Amino acid sequence: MKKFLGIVLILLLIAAVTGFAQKKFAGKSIRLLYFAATYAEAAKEYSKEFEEKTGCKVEVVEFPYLTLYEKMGLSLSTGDSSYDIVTPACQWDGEFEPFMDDLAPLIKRDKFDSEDIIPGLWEQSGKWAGKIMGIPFSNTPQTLAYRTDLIKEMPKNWDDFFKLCDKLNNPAKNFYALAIPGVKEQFSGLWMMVQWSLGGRWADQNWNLTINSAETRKSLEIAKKWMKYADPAAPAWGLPESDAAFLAGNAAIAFSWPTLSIAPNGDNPEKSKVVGKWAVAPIPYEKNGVTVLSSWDMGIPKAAKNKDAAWEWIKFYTSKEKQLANFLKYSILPSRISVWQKPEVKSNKLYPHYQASQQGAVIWWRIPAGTMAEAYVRDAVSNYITDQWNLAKAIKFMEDGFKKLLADYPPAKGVKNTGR
Amino acid sequence: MRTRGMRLGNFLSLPVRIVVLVVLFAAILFPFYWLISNAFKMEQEYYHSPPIMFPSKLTLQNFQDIVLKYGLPRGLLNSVLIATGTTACTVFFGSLASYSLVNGMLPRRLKKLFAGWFLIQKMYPAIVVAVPVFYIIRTLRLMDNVLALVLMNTSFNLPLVILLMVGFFQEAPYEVEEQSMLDGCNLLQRYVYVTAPMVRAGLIATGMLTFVASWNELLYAVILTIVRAKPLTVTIAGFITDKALVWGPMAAMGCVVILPVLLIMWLMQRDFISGVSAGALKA
Repeated sequence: MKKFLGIVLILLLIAAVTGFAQKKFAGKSIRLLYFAATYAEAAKEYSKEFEEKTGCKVEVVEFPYLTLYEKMGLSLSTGDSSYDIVTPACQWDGEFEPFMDDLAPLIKRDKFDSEDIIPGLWEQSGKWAGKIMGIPFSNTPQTLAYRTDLIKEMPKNWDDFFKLCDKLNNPAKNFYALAIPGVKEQFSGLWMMVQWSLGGRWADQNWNLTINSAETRKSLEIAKKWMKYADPAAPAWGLPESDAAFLAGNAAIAFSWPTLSIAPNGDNPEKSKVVGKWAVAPIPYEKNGVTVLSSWDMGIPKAAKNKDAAWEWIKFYTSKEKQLANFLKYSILPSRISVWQKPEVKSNKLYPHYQASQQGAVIWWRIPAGTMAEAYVRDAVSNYITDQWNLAKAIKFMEDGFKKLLADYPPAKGVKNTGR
Repeated sequence: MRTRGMRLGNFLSLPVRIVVLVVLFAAILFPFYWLISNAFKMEQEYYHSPPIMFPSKLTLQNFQDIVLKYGLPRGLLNSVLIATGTTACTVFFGSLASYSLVNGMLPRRLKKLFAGWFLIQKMYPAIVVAVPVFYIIRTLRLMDNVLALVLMNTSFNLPLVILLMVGFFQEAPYEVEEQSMLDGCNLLQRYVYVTAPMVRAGLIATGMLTFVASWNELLYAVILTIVRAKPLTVTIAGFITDKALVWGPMAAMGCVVILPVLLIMWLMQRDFISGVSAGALKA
């Protein structure tokens, strides 16, 4: 009898140990939908580590910006369960929120450490209509890169900025004051940051249009004047061409998202001719220094198949450790204040982004009409700077377009304009 | 007697014609040269201003990268499966449909109705039905499956094949078929052994057009694939990231993508030209 009980006890012990040793999500897999940039690369690198920790296989799917919007929109709106995690850009939050799970219960259940997420950032990226639909994992205010051997300090207003451009511009020697991505998809964002830094807005908090303003007029004139100091081919440049011109030493200032290409390559002698001669700065402060925010949050679609494993990935990828690793290796700017305070982050060339963030980085409308409103801005700004439209026509186009959009796709009741 | 051709020939003298041909030749071939040279260029030379026409150093790194890093083998396999599957289905079903429209027993009015229906299918943009197609494919559990793209490409190319083949079947002498009927052939035997060889040029021409169209198709490839069934067109589009345009691997992939089509066109050019031009001139 004793022998029998002993054997049963040993068998139970073995079963218990085996159960504990088995990983929590063994046999499961999750599919993540990412923007095709450094975020996806970081995710691919960490997928093996996550699998070792949890037993869950990870498949990272990535698409460029516009294709990502289409794929995400189609998948979410049709209740497709192909993706367990999606990473919407913050300006898509309002549009995709109805199809996303509320993460608040999970945050409470697991006591997810969210105290140090930049509060203003979360309000603009991941929170919508009282719901936590995503955790922000990158916080990128639009800044500029400049040549430290040519410029001691970036000007604080646009008048001084143009005086500096006059001094630096030298087309005869194929050197231009500015490297600008002139394609309308990128250029419209540059115009936005100028309009906002001058104190302008598209609409007030209650969605009353304010686009037809002195700030809009002045900002369009500033944007048009930039092109005098840029390569003649700039209107056809995207971000890669513009960054490449700066890295090749052909421009003094690059309007860019420096984290994408300039920061990873700026000090690499094989890819840059400005090694050790560049830095990042916020845009000229003018009235309030407000710039455009690019932020991505990570959430779980309502139709996702493996929600527990997906939540585990979110906690993993947005943890302090991974945000620090993302910053150091991939130049992904953290969404956590505590990570920004680390010595290795404070001493990094990308730290001025935190200053830009503190000054104010905002997004445009986060309602479904926002993406369409951005399209009106793109066309108006692009046609104005290429002299196809005059100032009045460009502004009227935006105003009429916004009016129609707000009439056809009104914001939900009670939703305020937290952007510009 | 002077013909119209002779008058045109006198209008443009030989040196002028040669110059025009050379300029057109250069304009058509230059993009291919640029693609190939970018595929072998070093990374530092992509963004050089002014552009570098002749690379100073050649590298095979880009081809290595597309095989090892960017999923060329799988993408190529998917593209081949999709294009050949689509071509086979479209030519088979399309030629049968055309045959029945020309020689079938249906009343004439019904034939005209069907012909008009097939014509209408070519008139709306493919994007219009993207959402319902997505629903159907998802319901059939064919998302990220090569079969989904074969189905969609077949549906889009079928109307063109049917309409083109109608002309070829109309040109084929029916007396030969009647003779075979007297010899005791059934419908299938008539089609396979008598009629199809007569319209071989048409089958080849429509097959090649379908192959090229489905090989290059991007819209539904993006919508209906995720990872496993991704063809090369989607892989190439993925090189346009917001971080950078990955010129070298993109050019290398472009070289690989055009090769099969070039090869097929080169092998079948005689049949293709005779097929396309058949019926253009009255005997």
